[in-house]
Amino acid sequence: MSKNVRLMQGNEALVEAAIMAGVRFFAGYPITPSSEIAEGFSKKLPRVGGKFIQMEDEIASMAATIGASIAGVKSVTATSGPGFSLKQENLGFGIMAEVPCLVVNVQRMGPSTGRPTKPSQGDIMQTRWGTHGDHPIVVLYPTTVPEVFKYTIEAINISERLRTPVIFLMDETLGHMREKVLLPEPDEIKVVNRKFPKVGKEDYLPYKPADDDVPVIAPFGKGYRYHITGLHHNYKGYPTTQPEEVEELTKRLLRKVERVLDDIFILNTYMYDDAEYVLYAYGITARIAKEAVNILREEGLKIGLLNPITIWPFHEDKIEGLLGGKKKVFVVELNSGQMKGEIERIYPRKDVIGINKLNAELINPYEIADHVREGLR
Amino acid sequence: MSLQNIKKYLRKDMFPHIWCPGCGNGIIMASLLRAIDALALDPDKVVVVSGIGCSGRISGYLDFNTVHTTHGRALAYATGIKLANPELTVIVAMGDGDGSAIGGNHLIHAARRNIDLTAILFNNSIYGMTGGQFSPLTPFEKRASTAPYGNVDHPFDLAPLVKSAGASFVARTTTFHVFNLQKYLERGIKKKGFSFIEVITGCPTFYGRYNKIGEGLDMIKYQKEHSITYDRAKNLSEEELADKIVVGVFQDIEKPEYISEYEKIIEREHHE
Amino acid sequence: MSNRDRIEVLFWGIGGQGLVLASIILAEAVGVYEGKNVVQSQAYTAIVRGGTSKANVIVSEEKEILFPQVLSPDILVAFSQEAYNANKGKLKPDTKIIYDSDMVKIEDNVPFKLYGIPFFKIAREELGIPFAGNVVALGAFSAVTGIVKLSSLERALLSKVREEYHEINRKALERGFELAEKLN
Repeated sequence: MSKNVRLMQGNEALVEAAIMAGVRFFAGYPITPSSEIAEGFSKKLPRVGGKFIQMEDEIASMAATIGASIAGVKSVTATSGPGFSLKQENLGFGIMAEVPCLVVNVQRMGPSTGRPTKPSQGDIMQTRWGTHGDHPIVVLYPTTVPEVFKYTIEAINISERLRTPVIFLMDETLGHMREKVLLPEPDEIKVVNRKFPKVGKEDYLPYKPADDDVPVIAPFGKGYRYHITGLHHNYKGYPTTQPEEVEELTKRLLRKVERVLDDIFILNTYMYDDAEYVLYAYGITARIAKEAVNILREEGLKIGLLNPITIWPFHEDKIEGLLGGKKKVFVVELNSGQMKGEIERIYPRKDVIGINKLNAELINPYEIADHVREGLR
Repeated sequence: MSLQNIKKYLRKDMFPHIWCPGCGNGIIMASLLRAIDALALDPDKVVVVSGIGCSGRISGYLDFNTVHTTHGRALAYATGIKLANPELTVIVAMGDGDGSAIGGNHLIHAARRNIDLTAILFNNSIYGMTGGQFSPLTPFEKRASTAPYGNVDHPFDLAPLVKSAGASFVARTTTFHVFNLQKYLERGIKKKGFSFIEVITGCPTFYGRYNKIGEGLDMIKYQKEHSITYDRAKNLSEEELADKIVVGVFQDIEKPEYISEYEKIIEREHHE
Repeated sequence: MSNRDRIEVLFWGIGGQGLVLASIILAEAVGVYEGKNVVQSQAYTAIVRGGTSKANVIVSEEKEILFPQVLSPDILVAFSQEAYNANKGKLKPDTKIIYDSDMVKIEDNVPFKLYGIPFFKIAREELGIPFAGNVVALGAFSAVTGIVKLSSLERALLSKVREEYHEINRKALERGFELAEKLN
């Protein structure tokens, strides 16, 4: 076996991948089940000249993470549900001020303190609408530890490209379980870095979007002195109260993500082409649903899996197209049906069946198969 | 005092500012700019981070690298900026509600960590922008829009609190004492470690009006008449100090600074 | 999963016995050094010391391991009476139970394949390292199950311990292997 194969927890794989993607700053606060991420960064960052700081709370961790990125350093914070709730206001600031960073949420079961050491997928809607106001969001949610590694790099790249915080979802099981990861050589991965302004300091408009709707914002300290605010602002970054400028900014923030949807929407399928029935699942439940496909296929049922890695934005056109001609969709979730509602917007409601589990335990493939059989009766 | 030397640090296209006639915030802003000018700091390397409230708008007016953050969190943002790029001089502006209520936790922890930031707390004893509600620094029995019968909360004595939390430099002064204000700001910026300068400033629109102190000038007179130095205050009783503003340097020490200590770890462990 | 290329191992005991570490060493040995597919996971609780401790290792020669937890163990490594009592209802007739015979009592006439060895007593009295009962058990695990080579376990184990303890750990593994071979 290659010497680059390592047995790693999901939480460890995230740290390794982030550092490989160029992350040199982490701010966090201890919380189960994400603490191994903070521990990993505290050990590894100084070794590559990076900085780790344990802040006084979750709010400060989000703020410091954005602050470091304003200074030009790729940054990450990690938490779980209760901490993710606390981070929401500053997450909105990061979106509004267009500051790239990665926000990791290793989900546990809520609401409130809930079941801290057990898996859940209860934060799906919170990742979409957790911070106030209309805003774009990109959320990636892998299904295996090797995917944690691969898509952490992808998530950081998307964040740098679009200049927006990206949320990386995991769950207790994925964060803690160990699998083999084949660590690539640095030259085997693609790393995206945010653009640096090409114009002179005199003509510089930090929030004037380029052709891709993404502004080219300089790191602090490089001579481009400008203002950053969470208020609606004009191209200079100054607060504005002009309705047309307010509207244009709001729409542009949404547009810069929408226009690259085909690029950033990652979707894996399994036994899909000839499938008559569909399991729609993401994260830890997607791999389990894949096993359920195996079980049901052996019985002769033509069923396949749709597994979005990019769970937000919800690529309506693409998913609608893929579901066209299928007979029924089963949405498998460790929540009460948060993603099911999205499917119901684009597919006849009577043919969407939720397979849900709410006891803080994983669903197993036989349970999924039973639900499918029952749904087809 | 002339504004000649400091006009160059202003973003002229951001004016007029939003502050009321008689507000003391402009005095603090001018003193900060004089301090920066006296220290001959490179504007490209100066960062001003502010929170939310009247004081929070200062960052927009200054031609440095500026961030107008969320309510109470300016110190946490500043911590990230400074730690990521220690060559920047990072100055943090906060209001009394901003810095001691919603952001109070960040204040004591920044002081405890002794990170090399200079925090200026604009203490006008009230929430101005939201309409004159009482803050953790509104004195006992004083009036505010949410304390129409007098404030039954007791205020923080913030400078000693930040001192005991671990800051390297702590001072309090008023917008009347402009020379001291500038000097304290210079000392705070120069100090390697966490510096905290609390400035008593007037809000004639709300605090002055609710408490019948008068206009801006009356409030500055009030500051003059009620101030007492830190050294003299040591010998006075609590009753004698009841309506006094204790001004001066509360702390000025050398101690290990957070980022320098962290960089020692990097020096030891960095093998890339 | 009917086409079984999947071996489910359940480790169960008391916090502090080193059982989670044993599960990680096993997973690394079969995964990294033998190239098999493997998933390891463990139960987390709010009790840091003491209390029940559990870990899962699932091994497959060829197939991707999709469901990451044990449904019905093929092998139970039991370090406490609770480990047997809580699981006996879920075991298959051919489940192998590798257990510390000082800590776990199993009634007569059960269908399971039993391998009782006083791991912790051997570690304490023969080897003089009382905490290495988990390592002795891993040695026994290799002999009993054949799903991992002793040499792979040794590589995984030694990568995690300081050099001064290499010899004694090697001995603990070998001793477990020998004792279990006699039971086979």
